[in-house]
Amino acid sequence: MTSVDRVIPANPVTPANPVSRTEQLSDTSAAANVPAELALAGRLDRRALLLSAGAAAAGVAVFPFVRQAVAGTSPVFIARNQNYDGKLEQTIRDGLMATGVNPDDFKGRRVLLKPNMVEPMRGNPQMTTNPRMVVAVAEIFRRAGAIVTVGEAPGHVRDTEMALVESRMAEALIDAKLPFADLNYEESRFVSNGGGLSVLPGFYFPKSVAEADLIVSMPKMKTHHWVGVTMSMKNLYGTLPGNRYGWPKNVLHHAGIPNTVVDINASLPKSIAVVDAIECMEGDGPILGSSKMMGLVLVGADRLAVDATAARIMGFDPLKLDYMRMAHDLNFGRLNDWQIRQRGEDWKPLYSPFKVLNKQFLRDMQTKEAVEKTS
Amino acid sequence: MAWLDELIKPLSEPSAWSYRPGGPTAVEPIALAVLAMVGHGKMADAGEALDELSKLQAPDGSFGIYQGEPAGAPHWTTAFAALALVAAERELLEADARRARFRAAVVAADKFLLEKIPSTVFDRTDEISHDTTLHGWPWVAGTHSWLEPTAMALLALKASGMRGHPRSDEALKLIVDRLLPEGGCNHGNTFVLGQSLVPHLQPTGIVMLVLAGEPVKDPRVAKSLDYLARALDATTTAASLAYALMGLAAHGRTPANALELLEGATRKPTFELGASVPRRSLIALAALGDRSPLIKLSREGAPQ
Repeated sequence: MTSVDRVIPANPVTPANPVSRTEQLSDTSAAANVPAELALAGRLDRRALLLSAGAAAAGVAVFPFVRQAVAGTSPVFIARNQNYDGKLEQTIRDGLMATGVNPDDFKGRRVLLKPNMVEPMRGNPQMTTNPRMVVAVAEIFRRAGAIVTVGEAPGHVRDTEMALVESRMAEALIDAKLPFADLNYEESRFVSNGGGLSVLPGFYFPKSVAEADLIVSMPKMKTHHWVGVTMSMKNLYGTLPGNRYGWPKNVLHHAGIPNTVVDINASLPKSIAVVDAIECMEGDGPILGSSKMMGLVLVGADRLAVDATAARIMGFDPLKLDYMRMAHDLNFGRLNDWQIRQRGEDWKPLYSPFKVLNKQFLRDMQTKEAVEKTS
Repeated sequence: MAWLDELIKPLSEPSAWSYRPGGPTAVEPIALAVLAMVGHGKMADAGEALDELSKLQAPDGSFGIYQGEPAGAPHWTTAFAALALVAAERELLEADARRARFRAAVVAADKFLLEKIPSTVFDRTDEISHDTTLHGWPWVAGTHSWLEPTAMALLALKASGMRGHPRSDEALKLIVDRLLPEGGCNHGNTFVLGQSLVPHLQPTGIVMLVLAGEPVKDPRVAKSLDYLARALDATTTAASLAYALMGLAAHGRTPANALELLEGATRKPTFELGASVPRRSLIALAALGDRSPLIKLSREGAPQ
């Protein structure tokens, strides 16, 4: 029996975003904290996970991104020279089609758009997903006949109205007549942990999340001062309600950030990624970093493949980012460059290393070349 | 004030006791509705809400987010319920049979707060600058202490005359420790990896509310009040505005345009977005100025 990587908090009582370390535990030890069926799920590959989860949800198996996942590679779409006043709807539609997601397949279905509004401040637009990105994706699915809702559980602030106003999301939603689900306070439903990497037996997902036929994770491309980068997988932390996980969501921190990122994503198989990488954040992300213009939009049904591609563009080695490596080990998606089929632009000419805080553990996540360029 | 009357009138209806229109009754919204009604002298209207709130108490004394929460679910809402019941109890006549019932419920809730919501502490590190060895109250039992649950639990204990309890002393110490150098606070981090974080109105307002009457000499308290006064304007959203104004009022610094700001907040198109229902109670509470029951309980519970 082979050993598995199991990440536990460096300090089991770290309150806010603990740095994690990796320990080698036997399969038996790793499984000891979770029910047998969850431990088994943790060893299923991406295909099996998707198909088994899909079988439980009527109609899911026909969704294109499920079909896509059975292939050995995953497509990731990148568009360059993008801006918030441009033709975002066309760009993102092209990206969806190029990565196997046909919006028309969601006619009459519930689509939840999940932007990042962690702790918005009007003067720091590089922190939160630009509302024009959200409206563009909403229009794509709405035109296809889907029932579209925007939902978020801001991670650091209790006053969601403030988060909506400061991020300028409120006026965009009102103008576009888009409904908003305050995920911090919605009634929730318990869903078993689909990853089994953390000690948590499952997650309380708000009704809008649990009942969605598709979740579009819409992160901002940012550095993160504990886990390196925050992208579509980490963004799904914001699907969990603050009234059950806290502000910040400290329950997850105590269970380990990397393993809970993977667990949450494995518990939400019907999700895709559309990344706002136009105005980005470098340095002390995810809150206090500086603006960095990239002009990119990334799209894909394989969240790990999208996040790994974004990380490469930012000068990080995805295998050195704990949650990406763990997701890769779980066969959650494709991480290796040779397994990712680039659509639109190739990532290599877009490479532009992001600055990080001058901490060794963050430097260790960057590529050698990126360290040299950003030191 | 017609706008305020319109805001208060529906608080006695079950539709005002949930987080969102049509949602189930939840402890925080119903407790805030009771506090607002009590503060505005509407005890008779608050009767049904009080009965409903009482029913939400679990046998162990806790109040979960909703009724019938599973084991291990969060109970930070217990403090809100205890405060509402104390405020109501004080308004009842001596002969009213509900007084004894509410008192018993508060005693059980306080006991739960003191004994059943452990927080986690750990050794201090260079990465996080606040004093991580202090116990306050967490959002979820077994995790680290954060400012809002700690402040609300301390306020509940002050309301019950337990300011002298060692947990109250430590909570106060924790709260002051988590103030930012230039005043104000956020959810409860000060510096992370050497970077100072930014304050927010709601947590700062709550913290200033609980510090009412406390003999704290730290200059960051005055800086926090200055921050609140400086940051409030016509763009401030309802919950942040209400807590900020309560924090200022608790220290005798209600701005002259407080009612104007509050009314303006209810007229914004964003007022109905998200978990909007409790905002009505918060605005109604803040409109009371220093007559808010939360401010009275905080002041009267402070060391005399």
